[in-house]
Formats: sequence, structure tokens, C-alpha cells
Amino acid sequence: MRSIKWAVQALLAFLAALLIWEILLQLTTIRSTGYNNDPVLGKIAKEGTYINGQEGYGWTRIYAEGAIGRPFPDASAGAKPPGEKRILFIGDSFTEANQVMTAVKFPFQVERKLKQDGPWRIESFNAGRSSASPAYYIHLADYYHQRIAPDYVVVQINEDDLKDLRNRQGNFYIDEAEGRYQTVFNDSFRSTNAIAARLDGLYHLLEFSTIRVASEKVQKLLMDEPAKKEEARDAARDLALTEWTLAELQRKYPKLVVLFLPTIDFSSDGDLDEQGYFERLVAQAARDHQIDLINMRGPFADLYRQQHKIPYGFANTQYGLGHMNAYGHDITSDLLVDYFREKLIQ
Amino acid sequence: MIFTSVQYIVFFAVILLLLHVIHVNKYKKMLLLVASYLFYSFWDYRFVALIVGMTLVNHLASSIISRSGNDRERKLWLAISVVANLATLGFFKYYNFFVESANVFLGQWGLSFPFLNIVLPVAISFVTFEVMSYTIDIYRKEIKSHSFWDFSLLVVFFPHLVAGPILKPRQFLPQLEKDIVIKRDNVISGIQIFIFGVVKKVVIADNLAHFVDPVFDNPSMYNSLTVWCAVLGYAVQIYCDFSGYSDMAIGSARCMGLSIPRNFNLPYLSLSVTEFWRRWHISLSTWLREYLYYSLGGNRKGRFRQYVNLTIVMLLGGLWHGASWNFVVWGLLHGLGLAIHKAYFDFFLKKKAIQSRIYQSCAWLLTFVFVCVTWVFFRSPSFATSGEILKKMFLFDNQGISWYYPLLAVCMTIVVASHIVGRKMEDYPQVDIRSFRGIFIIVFVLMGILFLMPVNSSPFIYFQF
Repeated sequence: MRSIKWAVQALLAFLAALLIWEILLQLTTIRSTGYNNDPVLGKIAKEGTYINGQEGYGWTRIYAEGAIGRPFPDASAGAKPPGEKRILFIGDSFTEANQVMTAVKFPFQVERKLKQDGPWRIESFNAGRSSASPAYYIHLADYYHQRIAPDYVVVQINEDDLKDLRNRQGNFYIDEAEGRYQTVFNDSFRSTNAIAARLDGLYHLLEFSTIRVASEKVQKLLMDEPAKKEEARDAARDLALTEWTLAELQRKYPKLVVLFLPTIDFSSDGDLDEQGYFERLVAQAARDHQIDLINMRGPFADLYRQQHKIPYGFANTQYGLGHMNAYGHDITSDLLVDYFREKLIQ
Repeated sequence: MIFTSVQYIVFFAVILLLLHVIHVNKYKKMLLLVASYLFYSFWDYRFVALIVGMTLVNHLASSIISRSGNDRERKLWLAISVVANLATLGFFKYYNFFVESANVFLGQWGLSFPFLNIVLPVAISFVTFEVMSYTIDIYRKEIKSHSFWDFSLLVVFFPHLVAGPILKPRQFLPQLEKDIVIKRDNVISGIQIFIFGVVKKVVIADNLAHFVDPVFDNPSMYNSLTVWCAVLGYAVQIYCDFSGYSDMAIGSARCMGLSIPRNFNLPYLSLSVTEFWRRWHISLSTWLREYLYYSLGGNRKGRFRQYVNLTIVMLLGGLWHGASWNFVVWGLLHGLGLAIHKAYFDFFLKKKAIQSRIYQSCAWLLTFVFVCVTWVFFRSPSFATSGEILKKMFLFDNQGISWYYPLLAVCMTIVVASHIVGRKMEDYPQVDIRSFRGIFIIVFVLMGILFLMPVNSSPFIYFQF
């Protein structure tokens, strides 16, 4: 009898502790909306409020089709209102920017600043998505044209996006055969999280913050992360793929501007201006195809040199590493505003 | 195999189970000895023979000392064992350091000693002090000679093997003469102490490392206030890291019914450097006092000589931590701090003790700032970096990144609160696991460890010594 009483007490204590931790983690660490496997969009965040406190701190309202901070236009409303200019921002987690509040994300700053600046009716749409790559942007171009009818498209790219373009394990990738390329939608993709990928049926459990955080930690405790081998790169092959990718992006999105977010080693002053491998390839491909390119290296390096501010990283992680912080979003939006002001005046 | 690994939890559970099943004390001790060597082998099996060799030499010397009635012979064997121990430690730990320093001097004449590719055996510093304390105690006739197996177990007893606490033979060996019994209450209490240590290490120290490490690695990138925060962060980190390890050692031993004395006693409450060393790494400061300070004459040869002795002892204590000028300076500063405080006590406080709160607050602040500043030498990767950090701290250079790590405030609050609460407690906090409240606290803390531990943990700081 006593042991039954103890077992009941233990169970209640366990549930009470779990509940308190669930609430604490949801408010301070992570609250995920979960994901759907959409037949067109692939793995896409469900509607809801995403809270992230693991890196920076941000609340992000996610709408249908993974729209960040604001829903995509009502499909039944027909053509867009006259005079309205729509800017579509597509990119990876740097555009999604769950690390900062919605008003700080650079797509919304661009809209706000342009509206303050002139008589333009600007609407920005943030289609940023974690782990996305140019393969995804190309593959879904028709979808976004049909859904949003953007006047301008900002495609955000960084060094890592181009590294893994051929990775067949991703949700979208580029298939290369005899010098011909095509984007492929891998509909069997579930997750980059090893445990989640294996337990497909229990995937929805990761919507509980306690289970999500615990699974990340247990995975780390039990599984040794394989050391990432830096594969030897074939410069000619990489250039050809980058050239094709940018040309295809331009073909799909005629009013395109590529926003390149470079990887910068701020601990070494001499390396601030030294371009990365794919950064050089993107610059060359953009020149070859006369694509507008905004490379943030110069402005970011100047921000550090002049004000000792670093555009990446957060107080709760480490400055210089990870996603863009408020400084990064501010300065990026300033450059984009300058660019669009010129375009809109023209 | 570190205490915070799943490997150790399984290893320890198996040992407890076997100790519970075995009924003959001799076999229990054998099991502990084998388990301890196995534990060491997980770190580096190549040096098991070295540890066995040191144990053999010291047991042989101490046995002869114990049996001999001839003072010269006793002294000779003590000298042989001390020289053998220090030569072993010196070769593995200090050879390249001395060669590097000597070569700077000899370089003027184009001479140099060769560097050797020496691997530092894990736990060599702790093992050296442990075997020496046994032989010296025998020489001083403070303990009687024990069997080779008991002595071996004293040296390699796995909870304290890698980073202490350094056990006093007269405290630990008598426990081995009694039956080792696994009792439910001891296990519950030991597990709670162990969890307490895990919280300190995993939740506080490892999280702070994410802030402290980058700042100490590249202080020129950050402004003065950030550097000050990192130094404060390190003060908390090293306390939680090392005292957390000690708690885990004490908890593990208590589960087996064996007692290891506390190694830390709320050190940041100290009102003087002298008090700090009574509260910080107590087993080391006790060892230095009993085996080095007293041997140098202690306070028996006049005041001035006492101040010099204090300085020498701490300087050597600093060098014991590692072969670098940073540790030498750290030890020297603490030695000077102790000597100055002793002189202040002798000439002022002895005549008139000051009880006012303002005075005590100033004394606390001065001690705390002094300890924090000396940590700069202890933590910095190089002497040049120490200089850079001190320059940032005291010249108030506002150039650089401002980084105010939010967890620093949280961790500082926890440590301050635990110091205030801990002042009123004799032993570790314990809960009654038969009550709902007790179970809830344990489960909540265990979940907290899992949720709050950083993805990348840091190694125990004292493992490098």
C-alpha cells in the first residue's frame, strides 16, 4: 500500500515538474508550431506563434504556407490593388529570422522605412524558411508568382546555401547530369534531426518544448556528431552550378536582387575583407548575368571597424557566430531601402 | 569517463550493485581497487603502470620507515621517496617548461636544451601529493603502515583520483578497516550530493564557459565592462566547476558509505585571503600547510620568516597547478596576499579587532576583487593575454564589443543565494524523497539539468592539473 502511495506521488510529482518545465521552456527557450509536409512546399511550419530564446529572443507569428509575420495575400481577392508594390523576400533562416521580433526582421524594416520615405504603397512578404536553399527558390518560383505576384524579389543567399545544393538528403536539391541541371523535390525528407527523422510517427511530439529540447540534448549525449569533413571542391564545377543557379533565379524572377550575407571572421581584423569561396563565385556569376547583387561584407566590416558592433550573434550565444542580430537587420534593411528607393524613383 | 557522462552512471551503478552483493570486505576493497584502475584506464591506460610504480615505491619506502628504528635510515628512505615523487612529477609536468625558460637564458650563448614530446599523465599532480602525504605521515609517526592494497586504494580511489580532493591518509585509511556497507540512506544522500555537483558543473559552469572562453581567448575584441564581466564569470565558473566535481566525488563516496571531507566552504564569503584559503580547495591548502609550510618552519622561526614561508608555499602551490609563468604569478600573488594579510593581522588586527559592517564589507570587496584579478593569470592562455586583460580591466578601454551575457546574471544570483543560504547549513541540502515535495524537487532539478545543460559541455578545469 505504501509503495503504491509513493508511486502515485512520484507520478504526480513527475507530471507537475514536466508541466512547469513545459511552460518555462515555451516562454524562454523554444516554442515550435510544428511542421506539415506539404505536397508542394515540402516541410513547412504550421500556423501559430513560434518563440525562440535559444539564440537571441523573438516571437514570430507564422501564417499559412509558412508566411512569416504577415499572411500571404488572400488568394480569392484577385489582382492586387492598383499602385501597390509587392516585394517578396525569400531566403533561409536568415530571412525567416526567428531570433528577433517581427518588427526587427529586415523585410519588415524595408517596408516600414520605404513607407516613411515616400508615397509608395509597399507590401513586403517574408517567405524565409529554415534550411531552404536556391534549389527551393527556383523550384517554387511559379508558386510564389501565382500566390504573391511580386514586383521585386529579394533572394537571400549565404555561403552555406551554395555548399549543399547537390545534397540529395535535403528537401530540395539540384540534380546534375552531363552538365545539365534541374531542381528536385525530395518528398521523403522529414528532418535534419536524426531522432526525429527516425521516429516519423512521433514527429508531432516535438511540438512539446520539453520533448524537443530533451531530444536535442539526449541526441548530443548519446550520439557522437560525425566530424564534418570539408570536401575538396571542384572550382570549375562549382562555378558552373553557381552560374546556372543565378541565371535560373533571374529567369524565374526577372526583377531580382540577390542579397549575399557573408561569413566573416571578426576575431581577425585582416580577414574582414577577404571574400569566401562561394562569395567570389556568386560575385562572378552576378557580373556575368548582370544580376543586381548586394553583398553585405563591406557594410558589416565597416560596422565593426567604426562602431565595434557585430551583425551576427546574440548576447545569449556568441557575437560573430550564428544568425543576424538587430544590428545586422538594421544595416541590411538600410541598404535594401537605398536600392529600392532608386528602383521606385525610376 | 567523466562524472557527468552516461558511461560513469552505468559504471557506478554496477559497482554499487556488486558492493551490495559481495559480503567479504576484502573482496569489496579488491573490487574498488580494480574499478579504480579501470576508471583510470578509461582516461589513459598507458600510465596505469606509472601509478602502480609510484604506489609501490612509496609503499616500500614507508614500510621501511615504519619498521626502522634508525633515524638516518628513516630520513634516507623519506628522501628517496620524496625525490622519486618529485622527479616523476618534474619530468612529466615541468621538463619542457624549465627547458623553455632555461633556453631563453642560454640562448645568449647559442646553447639550448632539447624539448621532449612528453604526454602529461592524467592525475599525476594529485597522485604525487597523495603518495607523499602517506609516506610523510608514516615518517612523522602520525599513522601506522597499512597494507599495499589499502594504500593503493587510497591513491586511486576513483571518486577522487583525477582531480581530488586530496585525501588525508589518517582520515581515509581507518574507514577501509571497517566493513564497507551499502546503506539505503547513504545512497539516497550520496545521490543528492552528486546531483548538486552536476547542477553546479553542467548548468552553471558549462553555460558560463560559453561566455568566458571567447572573451579570454580574444580580450582585445571586447570593451572593459565585458572583460570585467568575463572575469567575474570565470570566478563563478571555476568555483562551480571544481566544487561541482568535488561534490560529485563526495556524493559517489558517500553512496559507498565512505566519507570524503568537503573541499569548498563558500569561498567567496571570505573577508581575507587567509580566510579564502581556508574555504577554497581545502584539501590542497591543508596539504600545503601540513607538508610544506610546516616543513619550512611555519611560524616557528620569527615573523619575517613566516611571511617568506607563506609566499614560498603559495608560489610552489601555483607551480603545482601547471607549468607556466601564469601559475607562478598566480601563486606568488596569493602568497604575497597571505603574507601581507598576516602582517596586517600581526600589527593591527591582533591588537584591535574591527567588527563594523562597513569595514567587513570593504574587507569582503577587497578580497573578492583580489581573488578575481588573480584568476586572470590562472585562466589566461598566455602571459601576454593576462596583461591585455588587466589593461582592459583597469584602463577602462571602451573600444570593443559590448557583450552582457544574460546567464551571467542568473548564475551569479544562484551562487550568491546559495552562499547566503549555505552559510546557515552544516551539510549539503537534502530532501526527503518519501514526500511529494522531495520527489518533486529531485525530478524538477533532474529535468532542469537535461533542459539547461549546454549542447557542448566543457571539460573539468582541474583535469588539466
